[in-house]
Amino acid sequence: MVLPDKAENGREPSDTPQTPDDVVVAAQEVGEATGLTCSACSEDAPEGAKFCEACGQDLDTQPKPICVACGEREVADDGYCHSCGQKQPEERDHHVLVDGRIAAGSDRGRRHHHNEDAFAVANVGTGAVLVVCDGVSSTPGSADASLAAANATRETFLAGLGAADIDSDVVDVEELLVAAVASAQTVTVEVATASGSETRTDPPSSTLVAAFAAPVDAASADSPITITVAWLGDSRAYWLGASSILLTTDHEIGGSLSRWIGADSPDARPETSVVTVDGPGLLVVCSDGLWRYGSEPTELEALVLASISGTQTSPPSAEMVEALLKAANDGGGHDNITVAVWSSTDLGRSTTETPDQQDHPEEVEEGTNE
Amino acid sequence: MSEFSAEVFQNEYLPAGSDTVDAVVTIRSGETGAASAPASMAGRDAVEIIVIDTSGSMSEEGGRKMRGALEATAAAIDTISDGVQFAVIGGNAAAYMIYPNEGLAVADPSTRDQAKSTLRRVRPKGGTAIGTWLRAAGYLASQRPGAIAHTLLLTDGKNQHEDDRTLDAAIAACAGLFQCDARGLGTDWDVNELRKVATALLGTVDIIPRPEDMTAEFTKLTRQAMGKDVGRVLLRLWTPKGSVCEFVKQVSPAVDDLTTKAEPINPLTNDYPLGAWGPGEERDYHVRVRIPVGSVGDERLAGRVMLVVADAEQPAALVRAVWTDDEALSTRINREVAHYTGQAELADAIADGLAARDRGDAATATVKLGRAVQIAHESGNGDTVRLLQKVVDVDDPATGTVRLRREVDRTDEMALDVRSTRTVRVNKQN
Repeated sequence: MVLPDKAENGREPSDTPQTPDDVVVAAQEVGEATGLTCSACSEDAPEGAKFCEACGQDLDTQPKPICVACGEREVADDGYCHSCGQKQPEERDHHVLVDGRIAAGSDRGRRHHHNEDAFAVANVGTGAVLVVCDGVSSTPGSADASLAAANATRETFLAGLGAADIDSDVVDVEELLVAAVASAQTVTVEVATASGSETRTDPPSSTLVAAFAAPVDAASADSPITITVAWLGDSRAYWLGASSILLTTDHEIGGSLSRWIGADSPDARPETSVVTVDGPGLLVVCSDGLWRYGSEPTELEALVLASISGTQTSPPSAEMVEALLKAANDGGGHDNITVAVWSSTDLGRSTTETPDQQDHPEEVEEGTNE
Repeated sequence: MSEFSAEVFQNEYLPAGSDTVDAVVTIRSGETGAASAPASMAGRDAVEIIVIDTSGSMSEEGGRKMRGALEATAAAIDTISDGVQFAVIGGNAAAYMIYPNEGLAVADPSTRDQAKSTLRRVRPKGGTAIGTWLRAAGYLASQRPGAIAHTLLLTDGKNQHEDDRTLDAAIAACAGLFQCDARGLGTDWDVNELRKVATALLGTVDIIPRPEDMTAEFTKLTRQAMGKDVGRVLLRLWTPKGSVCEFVKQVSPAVDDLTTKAEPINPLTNDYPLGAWGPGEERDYHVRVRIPVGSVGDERLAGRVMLVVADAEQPAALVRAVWTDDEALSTRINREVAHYTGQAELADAIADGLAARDRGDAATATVKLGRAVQIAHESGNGDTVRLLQKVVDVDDPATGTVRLRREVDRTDEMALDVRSTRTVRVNKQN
């Protein structure tokens, strides 16, 4: 797979910290975007104004949020639109996160009423750890269980790395991941115990896939990349690069999960694998809500490339993740959709250079003067 | 002030493409202190008006009817709490004040005695003009705007000295001025006339078969009225843009369709009058709303139920719609909705069956009344089963196999008719 590089090439990650000028510009733009506007007559009002000069509306009363379904500014405090009745999405129904070389997102999909998927990610030096959990929707409490499990996996793994030099061979990453999954199993059982459901026939349960990727030689941009994966269930990890491969094997027999985490899990120890691949490329970790629309590595690669082709920014970006979630929803959104993507190289991705800023260079000057 | 609460019972899951949302809303008024009912109205702004038929027909049965009515009125007067404004109106082709001479009296031991002694002068004479009687009560009630006003109306005959339009206009003029419980003595009155009065004026209608039953009935109704401590409660229903509220029906303690009583508050919100409430009361309402269809996975609010008590809005209960392609969810039957749908069908089956019987259509009457027996039996509505058994011989209640009785007492037939809308609550099942 050849990744399109849309921003300027050659910028190092160290370029990303913002200069004081950048900060001022950002602040000004925020001010313009959320500046006072009368909720009654839409007239603009100066900062600090108490009443609208055009119609007398009290500007202290917060305007109601805009409904995602009908666009009316009528969303009531309880989250339902007071015009069309639409329930506004909860944060977990749809959320996207970009952090360094990682972009990740999760969506409820079209058929489920809750999002039981969860992810937890972290940049680790020049590498990253990505965790995705898919709560089993037929068991109550799985949404809590999956979130707790994903977070526990990440935290335990990061704590295990500690101050150790992860680019050396001193640390056994595979062992750390297995220990991290064990902690996920522990918190999942705790979620069940807290809700009194651990003895039920269907205590909260979840799949889990955790992948750690890091360049073999952190100093070299062309370094091969070592990927360590631990998983239970049918959430997957893919490497999309010069040759795209599936890194996991589904734990599934006859349409049912054969391994999972949860109080009723017969064996919560994960399967693991360690591979070394040539960069550059993308590590993609996802729930079946995504890969059912592109199961083979080449199919998933096509899905990812399509998600990048319409975007303005280099992968992995929020736009790309949004496009992937949308593609799965357009395909039917049969399940919760979760994807986490890490890029092995910094492709000069930069969000500080936007067309908007280039159009107003003089504002940078004004900002500097203040 | 009583704290009201509302609770919604529904299956919020709809199959793809469905637009109809059903919900049963249970409304409860708060308990206020010891529920010593007769004391509740003391010191409150309340009006009690007793309207008794004094037409010529009341002299029948050797004067037992008139004597019974006056004794019952005296008992009702004794039940009126101190401080309540009250009056007794006599009705024939006109309406006239029995007590006081004009306006309203304030109840205390002395006014109650004066009122009772005045009753001795009443002589039955003349015709029946119920609309005129109601207007007289309305005039008195209008002098105490904002009071909890109740009228007890008794007649033994049809509204012979007025046309329907005069009665309808009078009923409309009185709506909102007072609530009216209408009672028919014997079997010469018209069920539909009194039902019209009671329905529009948020009260009840019933038959008093014999003159000697009147005292107990008057005492009960007056005591109930004295127990109301909150007047003019409104059910405020918001439904989403593009929706149609198919109906809002009280379904317990009796079926009463409120749909046409909607008062628009804004394009999406209507008020429905629930009348006066006593402490610890509980009533059920069935709401059906048709809303624009959402996509599978969407959740929308189909209704927001609020209560307006003393002009203040009280907390909402939510009627929801969630579209799903999971049939296990969308085909779930909600017990309350199913039960009250059945109770409403029961009332309709009785009305249809009696109407068919009246016009000599025995086949339809048998089917409808059979169905009524079946529903009443299944839902544990024993009172209605007993009323039906006086009109039909029941061979098998489970299948609704019945035969029309050849000889039916007119009293039993009218009792079935007026009480056909009474329901049982869902938890009284079997």
